[in-house]
Order: sequence, then C-alpha cells, then structure tokens
Amino acid sequence: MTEILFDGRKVVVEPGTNLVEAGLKAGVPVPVFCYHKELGAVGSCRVCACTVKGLDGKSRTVMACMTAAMEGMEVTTLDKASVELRKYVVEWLMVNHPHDCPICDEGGECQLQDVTIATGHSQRRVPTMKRTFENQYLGEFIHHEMNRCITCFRCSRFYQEYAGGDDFGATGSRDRVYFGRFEDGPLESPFSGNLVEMCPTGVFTDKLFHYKSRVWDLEIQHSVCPHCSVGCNVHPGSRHRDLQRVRVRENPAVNGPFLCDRGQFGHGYVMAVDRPLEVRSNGETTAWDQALGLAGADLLHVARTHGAACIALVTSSRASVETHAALQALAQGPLAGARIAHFDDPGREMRAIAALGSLAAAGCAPLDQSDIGQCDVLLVAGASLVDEAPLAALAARQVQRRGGQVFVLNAGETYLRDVAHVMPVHPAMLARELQAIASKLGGEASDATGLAARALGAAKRPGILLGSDLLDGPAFAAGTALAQAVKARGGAARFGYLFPGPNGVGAAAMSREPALGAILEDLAQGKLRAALLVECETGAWDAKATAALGSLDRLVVLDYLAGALHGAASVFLPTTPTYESEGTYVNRAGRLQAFARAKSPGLPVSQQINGTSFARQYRVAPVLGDVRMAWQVLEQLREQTIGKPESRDLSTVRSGLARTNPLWAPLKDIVAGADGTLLDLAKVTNAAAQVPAFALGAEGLAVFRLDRTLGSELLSRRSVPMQKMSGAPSGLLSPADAKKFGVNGAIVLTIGGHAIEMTVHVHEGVPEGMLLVPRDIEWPASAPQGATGTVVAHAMA
Amino acid sequence: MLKETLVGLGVTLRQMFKKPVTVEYPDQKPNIPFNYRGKIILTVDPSGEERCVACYLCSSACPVDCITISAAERDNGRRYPEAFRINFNRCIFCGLCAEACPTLALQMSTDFEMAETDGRELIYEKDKLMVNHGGKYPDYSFWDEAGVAVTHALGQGKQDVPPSDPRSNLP
Repeated sequence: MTEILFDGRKVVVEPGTNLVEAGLKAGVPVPVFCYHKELGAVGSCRVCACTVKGLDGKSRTVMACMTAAMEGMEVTTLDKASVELRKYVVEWLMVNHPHDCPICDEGGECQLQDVTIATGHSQRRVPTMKRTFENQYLGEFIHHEMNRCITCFRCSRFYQEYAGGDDFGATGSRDRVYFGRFEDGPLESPFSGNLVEMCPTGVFTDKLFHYKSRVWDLEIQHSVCPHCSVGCNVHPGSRHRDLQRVRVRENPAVNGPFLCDRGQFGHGYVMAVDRPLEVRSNGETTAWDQALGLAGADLLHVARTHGAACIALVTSSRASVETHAALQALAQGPLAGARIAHFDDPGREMRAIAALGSLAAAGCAPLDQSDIGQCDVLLVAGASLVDEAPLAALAARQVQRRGGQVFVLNAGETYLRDVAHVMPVHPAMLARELQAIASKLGGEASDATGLAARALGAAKRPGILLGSDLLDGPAFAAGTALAQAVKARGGAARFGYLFPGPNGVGAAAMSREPALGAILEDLAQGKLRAALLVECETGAWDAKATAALGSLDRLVVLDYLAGALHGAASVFLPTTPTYESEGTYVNRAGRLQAFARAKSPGLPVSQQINGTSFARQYRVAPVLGDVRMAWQVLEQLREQTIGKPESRDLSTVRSGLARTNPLWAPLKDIVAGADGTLLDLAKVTNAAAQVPAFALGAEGLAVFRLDRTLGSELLSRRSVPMQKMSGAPSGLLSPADAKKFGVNGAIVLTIGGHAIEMTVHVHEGVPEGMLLVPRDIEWPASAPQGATGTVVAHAMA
Repeated sequence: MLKETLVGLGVTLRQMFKKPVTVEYPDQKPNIPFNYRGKIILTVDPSGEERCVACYLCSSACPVDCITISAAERDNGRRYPEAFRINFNRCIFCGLCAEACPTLALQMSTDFEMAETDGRELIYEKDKLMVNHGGKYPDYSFWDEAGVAVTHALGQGKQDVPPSDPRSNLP
C-alpha cells in the first residue's frame, strides 16, 4: 500500500492508483473530462492538473489521471500553478462553445458547466469567431449537438473500444475534430444510450428527455430495471407525475456505470396513453372498495360452492417478490388449495425452474453481472447474450479486453463475434458439446471444444453462463455437470443462467414445480371456475385456454398494461409498474434488490394543459392517481376473502416471507439503493423440472424463439421510440438451408398447424436445420420451443 | 427637558411647510422608478417572438415556489413554455426570478395594481404574463447570441463561422 498526502490529507491507496482515484479517496474531487474509471486515462483534456512535490523537493505540475501515486508523494490541487492552468484549460475549451446552457438538457448535471463555474471563467476573451458543426440524426434515442463538444474522446472510446461499435467515431483534425457517424442514421450499438452518460457535456443527450425538465426538478428514486434478468440499477426521473427519463444508477455489484438502450429508452409503457388506470367491474368504471368487495366475495363464493381447486391464481416473472408472496398468502383459509402458477409462459416456467435447480445442484459461486468481466475464461452457451441480457454481453466483451478468453456456443451470435471463439451450435446438440467440454477439461486442444476445455481447465477465474430459452433438459444436466467438473478442478468457478423477466429467479424460487401447463390444460377443458391473473400475459397460452377465460364465472385481472385481458376481465384492478412501486426483484444470479417508488401515480400535469394554461381545477388527489401496487391489492383482496390481513405494509409482507422460508431471510433488511443481497440458492428446495429434449429437425427446421435486443421484450416494445428503432422482426437461417429451400428474403413457415409469414436473413453462424425467430412475431402456443416447422420460400411483398 | 421638546416641535413645524412625498392615489399616479419590483412580465425579443425558453431557472430560483412551467419545442426547434404560471398569492416580489433569467424574458415591471377580490384571479397563466414589448432590454435576443440554429441558419450567428467540414484534414 502507498501512503500519500493529498491536499494535506493522508490517504492510503493501492500501489499504481492514479491521482484522480486517490483524490476521490481523500475526499478531493479532482475535475476531469477525458478520464473515466471504466475507460481509463488518456490525459487529453488537461483539466486534472495538480502539483506534485517530488522526492527531489521540486514541485511539478502533472496530470492527475496520468500519474500513479508513489510513496510519500505530496499532491495539491490548490497551488497557484495548477489552479491557473485549469482556468486556462477551461477557457480554451469554451472558445467554441455555443453558450446555449438555458436550452441544453445537460444543464444542471453538466461537468463542463460545473468546472467552468468552479474555475471562475465567465467572459469569452478570444476575438475570433466560433467554429460550428452540422449535427447528425442519430436515431430516436440520442440527440446530437456537436458544437458543445470539448473533444475529450470519451464517447468514441466507449463506443468503439468498450462496446465494440464500429459505426461511430472521431473524424477531422485540430479544432475540427468531429464525433459522429459517417452519415446520418441511427446508432447501431444497443449500448448507445451510455453516450449520454459518458459525455461530460451536452453533445449527446437523451431524446426522450429533450426539452422536458431540469434534472434538479426530477423526482428520482433508486429502482431496478424491469426489462431483463440482469437487474441493472436505475434512477427513473419524473416530474409532475410524468416519467421523463431513466438513467443508470451505479451499482458496482451489478451493472457498474452502464445501461443498455432497452433499459434506458424502453420506459414508454409507463406513460402510455392506453395504460389502464381505472377500476372496472363488468365493463363499468367503479370504485376500489366496491370492486375489491365484489372480487373477494365472488372468489369466496366459487371456493365455497365448487372448491378452491377450481380457482387459478397466476402471476408472472415481472411481478415483484412481494406480489408472489401475497399471491401465495391468498391461497389460505377458504381459498386453500387454489392452483398457483408463478409464471405466465409454460415453457419459460419449466426452464426457469430447471435452471434454478441446476444452480442449486452445482453449488458454484454465482456469476453475477459484475463477475462476468472479472472472469479470465468465460463460456457462454445456449444464449444470445446481447439479445436476452444485453448488459451481460457488454461485460463479456470486457473479458477479452482484459486479456481473458471468451467461448460462445450459440447459434447466430453477432455481438461477441469479434472478441470470442464462437462455435455455432444447434440447440439440440448443445448438451453433447457441453459434455464434450466437461470430458476434455484440461486436456489437449484438438478441436474447438478442446480449446474451450483446455482454457476452462486452466482458468483461475472460470465462468460459465448459460441461457434459458435455447436450453433443453439434457443441456441443463450437462451444464450442471460441467460446472461441477470445473469447480472440482479447484478454480473459483462461477456459474449462472439467464432467466425470463426481471424476477425470474424469484418466481422460480416461489414455484414448487411447473404448474402452469396443468392449469392451462384444466382451463381449456373447462374444469376451472375462476381465475385471478396478476400482471401476466396470455400470449404463450393455448388458444383453447385463452378462449376458456371468457366462459369462467369470474375473471379478476390485476395489471398495468393494456391488453385483451383488460376487456375480458369481470373485475379489473389497475396496478403500478415497477417505477411507481415499491418491491423487490431477484436478478439472474440470485441478487435480491429492492426498488423504491420513483414516480407518483396519476395523470401527469403536462397532459392537463389547456391551450397555454395549466388545469385550473383545484383538487387534493391527482386525477386517476388511485392505482395500487399489486401486492397491496392482493392483501386487500385477502381481507375481503379470508378476513383481516396480517400485512398492510411492505415490511410485514417481507418479514412474513422471511419467516416462512429461510431462503428469503435477507428480505428483512433489504433497502432500495444498496448493492443488494445474494440469496443462498443452495437453500432452494423446489423439485427439478423435466424439460423435453430438442430434436434436430430432420424433416424440416427446428424453430427456436428468441428475444432480440430491442423490440421483443414485453414492456419496452410498447415504447414508441423503441418501436421506431427496433425495426421489423426477421428470422435467422443458415446459408445451407436458405439454399436448400430457395429462400430469398421471405418465407411462409408452417408450424403447429399455423402458417406464419416472415422475413428472414441468412446468417453464417446459424447451424443447418434450425430457424431462429424473434419473440415479437405472433406465435401459436401449439408450437413449443424447438418444434419442427416446414418452410416455403416466399416472394417479398 | 424643555429644550428637547422645543427642538422636536421645531422639526415638526419645519416639515409642515414642505411639499408632501405621498400622492393622492388613485386620483394621482405615483412616480415609480424603472427598477421597481412590481408585477412579473414575460417580454418579447425585437422580432416580437416570446423570449422565454422555459429553462426553469426562475422557478428554481423562486424562494416560495410560485412559478410552474412546462417546456415544449416549436417546429423550428425553438424551446418555449407551453404553459407558464405564476401564483401571485405566494409571490413575494423578491426579483430573484428576474435575476436568474438568462434570456431577459422574465422581468419585474413597475405595475403594482394587481388587487383582486378572489385569490384564484391572482394565479396568472401565460396569457396574463405575456407583454408585447421588450421591457427594460428592448434589443436583446438570446437566439441571436447563442450558437443554436433557430432564428438563423447554422453558422450565421453573431459569433459563428459557417459549418466546418469534419471530413477534411486540410488546414
């Protein structure tokens, strides 16, 4: 350890720490523009100047980001030489600045603004005119205002080096350095939103937040991103009940300072005009008390006359842990024996439970988001990381940048192609490949799997990350065996899966076994009388089951998304989305993370402007503001059915669950805004699920549905800019199959008794005999994952 | 004792023959200095367009939180307040808003005659705040000074040169 004196404060740092980090540790924030702790130092902006007294007693001005702390160093940021240098640096950085702070969205959180004011620069003394630039259209997410640039290069360093994008960079020379694309057009990287955070000034700003508010006026709380299972931490910002932006909340244990575009720009569903905000009973708007009383009495009536077993309680992996717990607690007393499912997709339910069982059985350390980049060898199998969990892909890229190796066993891999050894694998062959790697661990590298096996065997910090949608039963077993084999070699092996939804692990841990399949079967056969559907979709349900919903005696629906269920429900109770709720999610590695309410519910003020005048009705409660959190509604429903509820607030719901199941013990002390707590997944006791094996699809093509980075995820696909940016969905096909079927652009796929027309692209990395289909293409429930379909080439319309 | 009384009465006597500083308001209008902090107005720039860019600095500076704004964008990219409200029930006429205004849009006027019998009438919306002149600063226009292409083409601002070509490496 190295001890230095920083502005008179003693601070002990790791050897080699640069003076910016040392200053932060000493409580002295040295101003920086080009330095970023994830991107490293380049020393180009010269604003971090400080003075160091060397061992020879002489003082020198150095750049803090480029200087490593050395024993006995005396550093000061306050002496005249460095104060003046910083002042001049800022003055010349401001020479061409357009001075448009009043209309700049960055104003208030602009590093350039802060440092300019701190150095005292206020008057432009340069007699020359200002250089200007044309701005570019960079898509629906990012607004470009190039004249504000101070040439710190943080954007291009992030975009190209860190995120691997190749359609954006720096051009020009001297004072004409320009950051943009070769020509106007949307940024291709799914991590382009980080440019907003990377830019120390307002060159790249959030287009969704354009001209909306000042940051200090925003209501901001600690929340968790609900768009995939990684569980990145976010700071949603709202003003006057209008959710205006989502920014990253730095959580070193999960996402660090980064967020993907899905998380940053996919929040449109919260403010969607079609979002149901009214309590409805039999198609009429009604009051909460009435609807709750009606729903409770009806459920009770059905349970008493027909037995509780003909009531289905279904929720999904986008509901919070508390909602799942409250749903379980509802099935007591007169409702004891009601059928509960914690997922709304039978295939995903099966896989999530199998994955959780595999994690519990393997007994490896969890591979959380922050662990991925620290691996020296990372094996990704059966997962298209960038599509299913984008930020995991960004972290996997860093493995190679830090000198490690990445092996990807996947069909149609695009994002990691340049940094990984990619082996295109048909999902039906995945188990065999994983077994091969496990058997060859540490052996000679004779082929591709041998290379992976040798690296994994020799790794000090090996990591194995499996997907979920592309795994079959044998693959889960082979994955478990491989993780155990790697662990047995003595390395600090980490093992993880991807899960569906933001709370896939939580939902799987709540489930004893896959239950939805049987419920849907009984529903289709008319054996059920009533159903309570909490924040779930019926997209993956059999058509017969969906139709049977209409003939139920009672259908109570709790949701915050508009959909078919909204109209069909006999009682509809509007709930709050994540950013309007308090609750807890468990991310894919088992990290329990609480979120707080970042936006108050109700119609925003901006939607109540008449001409140039704000609404002039005087009221206490906001219009349409009485929407409630799902767990709250379930507790109130419990009061109507069973009697006085035990839990009226969040802490009692949490401690109730913690009491009944030791797995959930950390729930008691969970707070939003912390790093989160890892659950001990070894305590998971649910039965393993039997996932059927995939077939190779000899007679036709084995068809697999997969998320895509933007556009297929349930919540974010409702956001208008997301729809514009994601483009039309299209399938992926191998070149051999394309030739075999004579495919040129479009196909008609016959599967599960349905004919589906879609466009397809040919991809080198897709093995023969399979077709990858994005999840946002309408899909018949009669065709499960891996079902065989036949393809007819179709001319493009 | 007697001396003090006489001195005091002397002062009173002297004042009796001076002209009064008060005026017979409302028959006679008082002489208000131009920097008086009266009713808040939203002024326009020399071209007659509204100056306010809805930057929220006034509402942030306001110590009593009486200003509410909703920003919006015109087709030409001009940022403006879609709605602008000042609640004069709460306003203490401290002038911090006018001081904070970076575009000289919001100014304190010399108008003080705002009495109403209903407090709701004192909640001024944008139509009651807008005036059709430039107030104390008739010549200033933010959009002409800032390097943003709204009132002029890119690079045609007062201090700007035409756009550079970033594809060229020539000096």
